[in-house]
Parts: sequence; C-alpha cells; structure tokens
Amino acid sequence: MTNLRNIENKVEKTLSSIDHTERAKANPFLYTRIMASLKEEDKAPWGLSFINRPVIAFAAILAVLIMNSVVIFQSSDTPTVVTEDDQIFASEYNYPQTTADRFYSVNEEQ
Amino acid sequence: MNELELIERLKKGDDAAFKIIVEAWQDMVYNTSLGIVQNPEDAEDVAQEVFVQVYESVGQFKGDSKVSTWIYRIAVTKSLDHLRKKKRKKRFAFLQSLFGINEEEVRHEPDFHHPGVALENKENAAVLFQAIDKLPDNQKIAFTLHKLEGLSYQEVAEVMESTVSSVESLMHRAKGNLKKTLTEYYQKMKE
Repeated sequence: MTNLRNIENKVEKTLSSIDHTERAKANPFLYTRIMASLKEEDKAPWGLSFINRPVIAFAAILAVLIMNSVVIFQSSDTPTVVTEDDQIFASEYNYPQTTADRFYSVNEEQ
Repeated sequence: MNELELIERLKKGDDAAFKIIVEAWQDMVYNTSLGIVQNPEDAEDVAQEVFVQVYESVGQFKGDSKVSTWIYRIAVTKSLDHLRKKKRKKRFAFLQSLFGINEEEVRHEPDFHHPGVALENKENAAVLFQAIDKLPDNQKIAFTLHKLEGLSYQEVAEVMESTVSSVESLMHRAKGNLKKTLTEYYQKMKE
C-alpha cells in the first residue's frame, strides 16, 4: 500500500517537473545560418534537389518501366505490313522480299 | 511597428524586417521544436527550416490568424516531419545492421535534458520527456505547447486548428497516458 502511494507521489512529482520551465534560448547566430541557407538554395540548380526525394525517384523509375512495357506490348501486337513502295524498292534493287526468299538467296550464293 | 507591418515589409523582400521577425520569434520556435524533437542540434536545424519557410511562404500568409500562431504551426509541422524522417532512418539503419551491411551499432539517444528545467527537477524531467516521446503526435503537440510554451488551451486550439474542447480532451488523454507510462517505469525500477 505504501509502495503504491510512493509510486503515485513520484509520478505526480515527475508530471509537474517541467512546470515553470524557462524557455530555451536559440543559437544567437541563427539568423546568419538562415541567410546562408537561403543563399545556398538560390545557388542550387533547380530541378535537381527534388530527385533526392525517394518518392519522386521511385515514381520516375515506375513511369519509365510502365512506358517500356507499353511500347514492348504495342510493338509485339502490330503485324509487319509490307507496303507497295517496299515491294517496288525491293524488286528494283533485287532485294529478297520475304524471309523465305532471303534464305534461298543466301543459299544460292553459297 | 506591429506584426502585420513587418509581414507586409517582408512580402516586399525587406531583409531588415526578416531579421526583426527572426529575432522576435527564434526562442519561441527553438523551444517548441526542442520540446518535440528532444535534441538541441536537431531543434536548431528545425528552427532554421521554419524561418526559411516563413521567408519563402510569407506571400501565402493572409493575416487571418496571429503571426505567432502561423509560425507555431510551421514549427510543429517541421518538428513532426523531422521526427518521422529520423524514425525512418533509424529503421533503415536497424535493417542494415541485421543484414550486416552497416556494421555500426544502432545508437540509442542519450537522455534529453531541457536547459530551462530547474536543477532539482532535472532527473524527473528527463524521465517525463522519455514518456512524452511515446505519446501520439497530437497529444504530444498539445502537451508540449501547453506545458513548455505556456500557451492557454484556446491558443493551443488555434495552433492546432481545433476546438478548445478537443484540446481539453487531448490533454486529458495525454496526462492519462503519461501517468500509465510513468507508473510502469517506477514499478520496474522498484523490482
């Protein structure tokens, strides 16, 4: 019982230990430091500091990955279309038009 | 010269007005952030960040609250941001030490001693600050502003953009949580 009361007293004393605490004083050179920091910010090239933020860096990597996968996905879906111009060009320079033609022309040369 | 005149001069880029503002409110900002971050070097960095923001965002100050209330709000936000960053760094350092990347031991902060506490209360105050550090953010802010800065519940409510009754409730819960933590602490000490 006395033990419990002792603890209660100690808790109350601890809770009131910061009553009437004096205000802590800031560094007298704080203004000089602030002005130096503002000048430093002016000198820093814009657009570089924000990359240091992990959220921005991660979002940028994610955006690049998404763009890559979209480009890969689209290019695999699009069939290769041989236009009339391509055929004229190929026949004019005697260039094989299909993969099979290209295979035979290589074999004939050998 | 009153507060609003100073702000108007600062909006026009008057560095002399900025110096007056810093000198008038630097102790208030430093003491508030010191109570929250509980480290003199960190509190100094936070105070510097606070005034840099005051300088850069003075154009957004509309004058619908007192200048001190506006500066208190910036100080509280910056202090909490600082604590979050520090916790994130600590967690990362701990993970690194688990995987053996960072061989340095994860260092524990020494007890915090507020310079304004009377000598006979220093030991008890250090224990109390440890308990305050474990409080949820809003209770920590209300308790620090009321006890360390001596703000009334009305002023705390203005800083926290809240009502007097919710500040009363926050203070009640903060005291309850502190009593619980301190009781456990002293019970362990007795064992």
